[in-house]
Amino acid sequence: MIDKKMLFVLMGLMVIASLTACQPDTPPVDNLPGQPLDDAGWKWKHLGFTGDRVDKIQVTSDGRVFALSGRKLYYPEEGGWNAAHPDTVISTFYLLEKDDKATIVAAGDNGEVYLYTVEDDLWNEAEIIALPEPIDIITVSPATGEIFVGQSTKNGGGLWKSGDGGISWKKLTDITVRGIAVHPEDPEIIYIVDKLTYLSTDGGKSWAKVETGANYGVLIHPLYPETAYLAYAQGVVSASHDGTITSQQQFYLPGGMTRLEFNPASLNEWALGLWDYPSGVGGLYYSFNGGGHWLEVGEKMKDVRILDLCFDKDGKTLYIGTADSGLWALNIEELKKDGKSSNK
Amino acid sequence: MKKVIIILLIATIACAGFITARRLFNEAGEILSGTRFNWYESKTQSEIENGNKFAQERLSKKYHVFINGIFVDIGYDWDGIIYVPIRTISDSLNWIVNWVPDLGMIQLVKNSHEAYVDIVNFFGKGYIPLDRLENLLSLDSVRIHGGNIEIQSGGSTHQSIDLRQLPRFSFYINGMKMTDNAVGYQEEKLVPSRIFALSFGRVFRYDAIEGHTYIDDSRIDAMFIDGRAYSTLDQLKEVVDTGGAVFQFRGFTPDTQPLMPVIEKGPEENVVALTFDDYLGDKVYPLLDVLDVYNVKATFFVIGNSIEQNAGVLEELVKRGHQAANHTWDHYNNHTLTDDEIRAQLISTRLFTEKYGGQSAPFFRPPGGYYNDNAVRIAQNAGLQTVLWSLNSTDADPDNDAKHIKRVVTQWVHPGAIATMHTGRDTTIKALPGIIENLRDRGYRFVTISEMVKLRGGE
Repeated sequence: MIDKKMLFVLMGLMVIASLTACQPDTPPVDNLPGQPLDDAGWKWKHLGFTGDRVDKIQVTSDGRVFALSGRKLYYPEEGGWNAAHPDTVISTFYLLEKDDKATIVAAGDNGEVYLYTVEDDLWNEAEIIALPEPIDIITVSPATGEIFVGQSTKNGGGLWKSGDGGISWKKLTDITVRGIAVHPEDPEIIYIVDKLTYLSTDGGKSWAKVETGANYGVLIHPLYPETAYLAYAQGVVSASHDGTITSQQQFYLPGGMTRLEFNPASLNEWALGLWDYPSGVGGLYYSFNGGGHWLEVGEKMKDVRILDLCFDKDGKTLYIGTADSGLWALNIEELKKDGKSSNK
Repeated sequence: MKKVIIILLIATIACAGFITARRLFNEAGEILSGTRFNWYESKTQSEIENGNKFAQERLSKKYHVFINGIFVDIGYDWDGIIYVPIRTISDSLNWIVNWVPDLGMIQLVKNSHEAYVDIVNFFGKGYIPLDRLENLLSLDSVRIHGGNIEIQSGGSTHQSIDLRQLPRFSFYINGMKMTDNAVGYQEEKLVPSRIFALSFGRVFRYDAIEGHTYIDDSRIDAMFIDGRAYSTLDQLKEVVDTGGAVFQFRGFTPDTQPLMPVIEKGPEENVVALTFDDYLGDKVYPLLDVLDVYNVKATFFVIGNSIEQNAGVLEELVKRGHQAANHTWDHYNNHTLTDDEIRAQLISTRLFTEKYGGQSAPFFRPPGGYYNDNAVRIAQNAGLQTVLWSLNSTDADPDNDAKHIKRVVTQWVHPGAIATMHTGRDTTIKALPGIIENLRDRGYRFVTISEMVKLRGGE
């Protein structure tokens, strides 16, 4: 009789296990929007947008996350994700922090730029004379707070700068722009990228072509601003600020990068999204030695297409925007404990 | 009840023990290689099958790309992003397209404009997102509807005649079917100009700005049917050296011939076929020298576009008694090609092999093992039987040294094995003497694919 009971219990457990295994893989949200991530012991946290794409992420110094999803800008409010000005289509945005106030510089599909003060819930359209097509990139000079807006369309584009928080704008060049990097200490040094990479050492008055084909994007590490890293799909070319190419580094990974980001707190820690379109595989890779060796992070990011990566200011958390599984956070301290290495 | 549970437990343990023992036994390939079952052979077959399944799935959402009304190539929807082949499209719009190997990028140049483009590489063909291409080349308009991408740029749209309104023919070159899409038009018979050019290893180019078509550098008159350029045989012969090729139009009839079997391995005899795939080049000579030392005859599956500049290599290969078979002209994945493009890949390779080697073995190995029944039928209509492999030497992986290659082949060899190796690799040449000596010592005899087919009963 006891054995029969045991059998029933076992069968019951098997049925539950089967049902569990058949559940669709929709991870629950592990952290309510706006809730701090400072509790230790976790490695992954799913932050929402389940099943959706998250194109861009930015994080305030106190850990508030802003995300672009479905061409809408979201910010955390009362334990949920709130769309700022939900009727407005947003193509990209940049987060400005000043005096503990967060201001979003957002751009729409028709060349328009908006300024949104989160604390005051103020939404203003800035005057900018761009082509009536999507803006590609917005960034801010870390040294001066000047806002740069880049646009690249088949009909042209350019680079605009505002020195007064978006009230007035000046066009710096007609060169089309998809990527911008401004030197963190010397605001005269600006890189722009579209079909080719250009460098200005006079704050945008004149531009010289950097003699490399790498035009995937440009990054300057805040801890080592002497070098610019010009990305191509399989690696980076490093350049000094006179436009001289100093080295070329190929990553030897099985695909092309979708996103590269430097850990602001550690010179040699780089995060990379990888995707091989014909085979549909890739995921998140992390390097602890400046791209020399790459660790395939796997787990929640195995074969997930990554659209954006963003570290918090301490470099302890990596926020990950994906193509179809929402927004995630990875605890870098836990990743370091893995102690694995890979050099595919 | 207790007894039942105990019996079940014993049965489970026995079953697990048997599976483990069998696995251990199988992995000791030296012992097992003389038997029917070979784990590595099954693995090889699975890899080919899974690779094909996966490729077909990834390439299932396809778009025919037209520029100013003329078909140029095929693009794909990968993960919600439409990717299009950059070379053919840019070339049609008169951009110079240069590959920059150091960066893995393509450089586009036109007048004073210059751009570098990151590509997605798929079997040697570069693709970029359609919206990026639209920006880069400043295309006037891009319209997607049905299964087509219609690009308008710098010229007027060409009006095409509807193929369905015309009588259709099949067209053959030296008895090999080139197309089922030849047509009759105003008492003339016309063939697709591009496929004809590709079938003779020539470069076809459509200048979408001027609306002209070229074979190599020679302009050729063409009319457009279903967005494809068509010319008469006389027009084509003016610009293409067709040698003594024999052409034939036949009435179009659906092909109902039974499919020839795909050869994956030989009979259960102690024979092995060594096969070498890919490009001809100077590194084939030392390979031939090793084979000569051991008096082994092998089968080379040659990529057609390497034949003309290495004609001496092909001649030497055939002179020394090896077989030259067909590995297509460009080594593209067959799943990315139209039926007529596959035909042209096979015909051109066969014509060049016969022109420079004197003879061509009637076998086709699909690059990467990417094939389906349709490709098998197309090959059959070009007089070729499809040959895969049962023993992957793994020499294609640059991380594998000669020792590894020898270990894989000698460990997993089996009766009737077709071993795949590659030309142009020092590791293969270094591994070969050890492989041949080891297999000979174990009683294996080396045969060509032709001999293996005869041993199988002459399929």
